[in-house]
Amino acid sequence: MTKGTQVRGGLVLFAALLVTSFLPTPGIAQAQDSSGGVHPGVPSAVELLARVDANEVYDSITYEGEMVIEYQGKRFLKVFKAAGRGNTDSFVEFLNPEDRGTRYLKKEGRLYVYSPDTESIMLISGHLLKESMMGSDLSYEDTIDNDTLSARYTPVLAGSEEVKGRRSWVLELTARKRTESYPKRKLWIDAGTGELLRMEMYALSGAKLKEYELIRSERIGNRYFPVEFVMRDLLRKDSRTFFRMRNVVLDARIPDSVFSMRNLRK
Amino acid sequence: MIRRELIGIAFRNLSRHRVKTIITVTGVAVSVALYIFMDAWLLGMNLDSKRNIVSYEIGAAKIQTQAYFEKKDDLPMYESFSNWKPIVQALEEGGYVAAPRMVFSGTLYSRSGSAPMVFHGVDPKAERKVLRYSNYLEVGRFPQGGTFEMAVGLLAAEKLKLHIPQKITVKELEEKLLRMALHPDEEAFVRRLYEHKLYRTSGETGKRGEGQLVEGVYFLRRDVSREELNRFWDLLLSSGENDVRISTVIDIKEESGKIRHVYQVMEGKVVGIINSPNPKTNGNVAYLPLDVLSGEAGLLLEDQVTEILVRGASAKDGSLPKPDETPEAIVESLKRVGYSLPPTLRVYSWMDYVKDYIAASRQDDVTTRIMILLLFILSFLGIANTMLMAILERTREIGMMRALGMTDGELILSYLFEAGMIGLIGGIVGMVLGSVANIPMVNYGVDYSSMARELSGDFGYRITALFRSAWNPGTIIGSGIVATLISALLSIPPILRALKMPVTESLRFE
Amino acid sequence: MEVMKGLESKGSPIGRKARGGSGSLDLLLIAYRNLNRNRRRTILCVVAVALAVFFNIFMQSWIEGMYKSIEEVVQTFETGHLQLVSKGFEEEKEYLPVQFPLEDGKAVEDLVSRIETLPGVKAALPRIVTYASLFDSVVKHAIVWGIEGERELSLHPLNLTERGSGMVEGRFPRKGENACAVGVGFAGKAGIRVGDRLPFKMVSAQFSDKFWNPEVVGIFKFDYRKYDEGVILVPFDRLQRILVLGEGTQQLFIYLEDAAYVEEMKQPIQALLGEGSVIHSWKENYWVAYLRNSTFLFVIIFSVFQIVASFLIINTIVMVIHERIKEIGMMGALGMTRGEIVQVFFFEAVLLSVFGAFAGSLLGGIVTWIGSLFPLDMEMFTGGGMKDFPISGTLILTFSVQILGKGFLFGVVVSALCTLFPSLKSAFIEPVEALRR
Repeated sequence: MTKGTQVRGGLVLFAALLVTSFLPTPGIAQAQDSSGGVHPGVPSAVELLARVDANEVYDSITYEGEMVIEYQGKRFLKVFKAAGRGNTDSFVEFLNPEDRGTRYLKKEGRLYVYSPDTESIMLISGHLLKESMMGSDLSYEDTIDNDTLSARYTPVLAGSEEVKGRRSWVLELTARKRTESYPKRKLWIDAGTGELLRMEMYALSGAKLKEYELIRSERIGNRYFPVEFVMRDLLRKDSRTFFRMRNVVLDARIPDSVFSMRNLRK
Repeated sequence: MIRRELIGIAFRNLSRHRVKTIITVTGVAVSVALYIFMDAWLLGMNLDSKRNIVSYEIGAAKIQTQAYFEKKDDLPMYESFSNWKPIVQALEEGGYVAAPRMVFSGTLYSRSGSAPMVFHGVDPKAERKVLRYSNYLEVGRFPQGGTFEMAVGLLAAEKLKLHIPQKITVKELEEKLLRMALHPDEEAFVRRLYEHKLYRTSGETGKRGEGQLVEGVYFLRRDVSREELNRFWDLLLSSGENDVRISTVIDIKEESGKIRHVYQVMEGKVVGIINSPNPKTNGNVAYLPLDVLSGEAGLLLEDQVTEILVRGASAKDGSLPKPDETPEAIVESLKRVGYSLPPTLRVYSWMDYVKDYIAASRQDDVTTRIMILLLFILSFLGIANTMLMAILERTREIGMMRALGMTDGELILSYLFEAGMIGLIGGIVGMVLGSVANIPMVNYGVDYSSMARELSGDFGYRITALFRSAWNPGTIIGSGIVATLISALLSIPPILRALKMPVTESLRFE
Repeated sequence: MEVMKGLESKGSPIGRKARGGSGSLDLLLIAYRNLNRNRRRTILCVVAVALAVFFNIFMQSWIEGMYKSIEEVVQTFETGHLQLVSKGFEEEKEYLPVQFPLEDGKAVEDLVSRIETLPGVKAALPRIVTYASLFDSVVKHAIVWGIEGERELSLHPLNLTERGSGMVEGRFPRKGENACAVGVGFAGKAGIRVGDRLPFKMVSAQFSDKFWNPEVVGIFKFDYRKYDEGVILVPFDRLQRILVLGEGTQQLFIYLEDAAYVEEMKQPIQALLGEGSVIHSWKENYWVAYLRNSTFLFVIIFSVFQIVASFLIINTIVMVIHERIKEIGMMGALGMTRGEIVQVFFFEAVLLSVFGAFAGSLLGGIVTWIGSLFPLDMEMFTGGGMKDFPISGTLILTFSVQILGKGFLFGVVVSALCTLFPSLKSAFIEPVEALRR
């Protein structure tokens, strides 16, 4: 864990940020899985959650992302390229025609945006950092710091269930601090691979606010990396968002020039 | 001649020309009465919006943290304060009524949609003591403590379809009834409330034959009684039609100063719809009990509130806050009962919240004053007119008196007395008439909402409009005095003119 | 007696009657002479009626002016004559969403040309209104207003007081230009000057965040507080592009040849559009309705003024008659019938009314004409606190011949009616008794 702690926020700023908030999966799980057929018995809740968190440990990531927003019968597709390094640097560029050329750069704790409409670079600061990103429930500020689930929640094992025919452990998470955005979460973790199959986020009152569901993960190195999943905002009628990641490369060296102002302007 | 005799002559003159005296006195009285009435009306109009702010929105003063006040436009709920009960208690001992509140923003979701709202967590009992909007429920009741019941503004209720619709399409009504799954009797009852009719959309001036015929619409019957509406409302409530969810973000300030956001969703029920004379209470606002917000099902408040509203315990609805309701007086009175506010808390006058408005309405007074001045001119021109004529035609009499040996001074004095007397009697009668006419106007006012509706046609907006006059003792007394003085003074020019005339000529004057 | 002088010069009315002459004209003449006979009283009476009529005219013109002001502001900024939006927008309109374009984003030019071919339609103008989050930390939010500046201005002024473009500094952003204009209030608060860049964020039609920092090329004062304090005016086409609305628009404002015929035009316009569109007319605006309701208060003030004024007239006439009872006796003694006596008094009062009403109308006409040229500062009337109230900062009195005519008629009718009773009373006084008084 030398360099690669909490890549989450630094990653992608926007869509992927939603991803990284729940970036799941194992690492540790593989060993057990590959040992094949051995029933691991009942793991501890803390251990399970640590597995989920462990997945987020990488030095760097690059991928091509796709996000489909479905809202009241309409579909909006966004395509982007993202690169992240450590917790400090990240770069996102949008490729879909509507947003083509919009680029975000996070560097040295500052957040810049390049707008092709104006051909200028703007520094997002002050109260604007508190604004929600792309209508999501994450603010720009949230992309700057974020702790692991283990650090923020106390897990309790609440049994096991089948999710889409996969046996999984159910974890109930309660926030350690009363200031946590989602005071409660419920996680379904694949008993074999340790993938986060499902997650539900609750409001303080216990009302369900959001749902996360894994569609497909990819084996990258010794990780099961979630590359396709769907999010639902239960307060919004007929609304869900699909995420897809392609060509995910973890822990490769990314040249400094990617995270430069020049690259932002290009 | 001594003065008493002059007064005697004046009196005798008054009774001698009884008809003329009565006409003149009536003229003065009516002018004075109407002037007093109108002045009270204009003053009432001028005070009206301020009273609306005080009676329905703010009260006389608010206690808030200084930090909240500085950021009040953002509704920073994290700048709240706790331990408010001793403050309320001390205020009540000091002769005030007080209402604690937690104000926060969020989104209200109904079956049919959502709307951004400002929510007020209130203590229903205390709220009723300080503010009056709860008297203006379009339908339903004010929420009860300990429940997630709420009252919402009319416009929000209409948008979220939480009201009793005035008109509803056939399709909507059928869907609603299907959802409500009522007992057949109840369903029949609801159907009876509506009548199906073709109607014309309002044309240019609402003239017959304009607009277009629209089909498939039910209208709430015009003769629906209050009881029927309430029964329908209860059915709506019990069938879950008015169930809502509040979605909000609780802002909590950490010790580090960083503000954290916690998501919250609360389930509730809209039990009342507010339509008060202050449009602000009828918009996107909701009132719900403060006590249910304290725990995890609410806003994690424990004991926090964002403000305490204060009003004098004996303050009248019709009047603006008195000197004993100023922040200074409130702080002083708290001290008297042995309580001093924590240093972070401040008492702010209602005026601090509507600074723009106050600055502007100072100029507003100018308009009122101009109107009053015009009315004054009009009224007293009436007096002047009658007095002038009354004296003019007595030119011959003046000649006679002079011929009989009265001095000019005595003559002027006697006529001054006479004219002044007319003014005085008229003034007093006018003062009494004006004040009597004012009593119901000040105490009950005119509810012109239905009249306004009739006048303006159905715009689809129901506007509550209550108008009240205001007492203005200065004007009442002043107008009596001015009437006397003007009457007396106006008699001088014609007398002087008559005195200048040779006696013989004035005897012949026509 | 002077009355008799009048009679003598015209010959005895009795004689006339015997000859079958009508005499009404003569009575009118007598009445006219009576006015001259007591000039002072006449002046007092005329002044009273004139004042009453003047107030009538002035207040009507004031109320009318206020109506017009609010209606014009609503028509210019809020709804046009007719406002076309999509159902999706309608449901979320508090948020000013751009994700629900009109007719699912159909080319706006096509829509415009189809609507503009309808008879009675003057113009159809696309507009986009949306929220922006500013980088500035003093003014955090604003409304971005994308309009086709040149077309809008060629159709109606934006500053309704001066009836001009409202630019106090710089100029309007041009079509397609990377530029904006802001209100004076806004510029003052945020410390913005012409030539500065104004960065802000909006949400596009696809829910993407869009950052823009156009150059401020102009500062406007529309005299409408809401806009002067919180609006960034930008070229429609540029905003359309940045928010990725394609060829579409969020709203379409339709202006008719005659604003009154909105209801009649709804049907043919709706017929051109699909199911998903909603049409609103300016008459449905909450504030237009609100003002109409509040007018009731003014109607009452107005009527009290009229009562006071009418009373002034009644009182004067009652005095006149009372004082002339003796003359009634004389006239009777000379053989005038009751009817003729009543007529003389009545004509006298009518003449007074006509002169008074004429004087009042003249004065009212002059004052309202001046008021229609020089706007009054309305801040003192509405109170600056009513930020949401769509009324411009100044009031222009309405000068209209109709109001003048109504005022004149009011004066004559009210005075004549007021006079009828005392005049009739004059007929019931026995001439013999009258002589003895």
